[in-house]
Amino acid sequence: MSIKVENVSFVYGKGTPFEKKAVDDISFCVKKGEFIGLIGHTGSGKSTLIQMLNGLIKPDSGKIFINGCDITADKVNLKEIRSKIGLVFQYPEYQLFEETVYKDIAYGPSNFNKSKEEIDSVINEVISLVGLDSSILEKSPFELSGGQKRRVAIAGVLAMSPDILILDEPTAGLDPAGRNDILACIKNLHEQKGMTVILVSHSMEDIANNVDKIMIVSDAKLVSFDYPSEIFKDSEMLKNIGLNVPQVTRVVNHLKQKGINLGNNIYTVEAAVDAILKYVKEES
Amino acid sequence: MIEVKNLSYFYEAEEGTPEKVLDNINLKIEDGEFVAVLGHNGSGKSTFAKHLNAILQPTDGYIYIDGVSTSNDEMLWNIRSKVGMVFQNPDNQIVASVVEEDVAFAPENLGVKPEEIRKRVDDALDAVDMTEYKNHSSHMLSGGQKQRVAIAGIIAMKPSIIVMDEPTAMLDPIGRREVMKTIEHLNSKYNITIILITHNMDEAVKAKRVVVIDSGKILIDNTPKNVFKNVDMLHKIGLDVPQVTMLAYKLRENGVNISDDILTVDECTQEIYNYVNKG
Repeated sequence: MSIKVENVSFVYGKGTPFEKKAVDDISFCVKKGEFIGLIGHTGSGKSTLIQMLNGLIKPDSGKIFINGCDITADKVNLKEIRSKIGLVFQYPEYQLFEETVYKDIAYGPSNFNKSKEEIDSVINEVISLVGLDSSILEKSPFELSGGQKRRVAIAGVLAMSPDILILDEPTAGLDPAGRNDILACIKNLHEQKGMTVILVSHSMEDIANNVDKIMIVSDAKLVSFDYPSEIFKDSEMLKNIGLNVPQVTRVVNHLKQKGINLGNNIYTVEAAVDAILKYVKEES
Repeated sequence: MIEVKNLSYFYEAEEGTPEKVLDNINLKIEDGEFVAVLGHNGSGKSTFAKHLNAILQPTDGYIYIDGVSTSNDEMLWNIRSKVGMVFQNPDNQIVASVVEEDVAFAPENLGVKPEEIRKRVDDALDAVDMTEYKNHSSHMLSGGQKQRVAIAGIIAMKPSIIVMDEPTAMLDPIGRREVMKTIEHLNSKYNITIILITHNMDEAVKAKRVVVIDSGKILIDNTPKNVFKNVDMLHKIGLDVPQVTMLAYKLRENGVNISDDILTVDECTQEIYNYVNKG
């Protein structure tokens, strides 16, 4: 499923003293199966933007097309849109509410009138997709660890079989192992199910390691939408809008200033190791 | 000074045996130290932090704050005014609708005289660099600003020790930077002892001492350089190292002979530069 956003704007509290432009004339296109990283600091408008993508917020102006269907039009069937676009909010584990993990995950599909058999099979599938054992299904979601709860919450969204998955800072507050588990799980969904993914994160390292393209939002505007190699070239621009380039990219940039040119597309540890080894070999 | 002697703690279980969360911890922290405490979720590090100002009391063993045991119920107020706590979620720590009133909340409750409160509030807001926001509405601040106001509220109690339990976990990079700068400033300028619980390895690097807790025990207690050297061991217990430390580690694995205790971008750049130019 593709996403096409055309000149979308949104203002909070229009006509009040608290009027604030949250999204200002943003346009972009996401192709089916792409993995997009969305970065922007608090208050940049990125959360407003992703809520528009599944119709939770309607833009003041502009159009949004999901697979060619204009979801900003009047009388559009938003229920169908929302079953196709799964939105995982920040700290989604706060939204767990049922007695058992099974019932919690089943909540979405049962509201879409799925049969018991369909629900059973979908739950078995999603619980393993998020890397949990089915023995967890009869437990109360409140007995689980933080990382497990979050995976259950993500499973609840996956149970709607979305084609597009949008996650708002899914690793916030987790320890490094929990963070790696969640990222691996998202990567897996993207690769195996061909899901289109939009990942909102503050961590440049997380983004650089996983995504195809990066979208940067600052002060309600889309500042940049490009491949990581292009984005990380401009570390001054990133710094100015309060973002950091990954540590290894800074090392590579500093080395370049000192006359050691390792190349451009280096933003992961592995790429840096390869580039340095290659450089050393060529020099000697 | 903080002295922890043979500290163990059990959580009561509804059924079966109580769960041991802290297991015979011994630790001494001198005045003015900046200590980072690392450990994965469930390692016991937050339970440990809560012992430092007697929110929890030891099942076994003792903790002494300047020689006073936290198990002595009569001294609880004394201990809590010495040891301030800052938690993860800034929104849960703001009680008043105006910034300076929020900062005044604790000293008011300690019965400090009004003129003294005025002075403490001004000093505390100055220490966290929030003076210009003193008349602002507290709920309109950014996360980093709220967290700094929460820290100011603690400083107004004049504690000698501040324990921070993942104070930056919910903040964006700008907020993180602001709060980390404030923490370093409080430690270096005011000589306040800082215990920083964190998942962020780049923050732990800024401490002068790093304590790693795993399964309720202290696994390592050393300088950041000596702790982050142990890449394999840290990975094994679910922790990370800074990206540049990982880079140096992988390069060493591939026969590039550079230092094994790199923690910053500048150190890493210099080491690689030296290596390449030597070769």
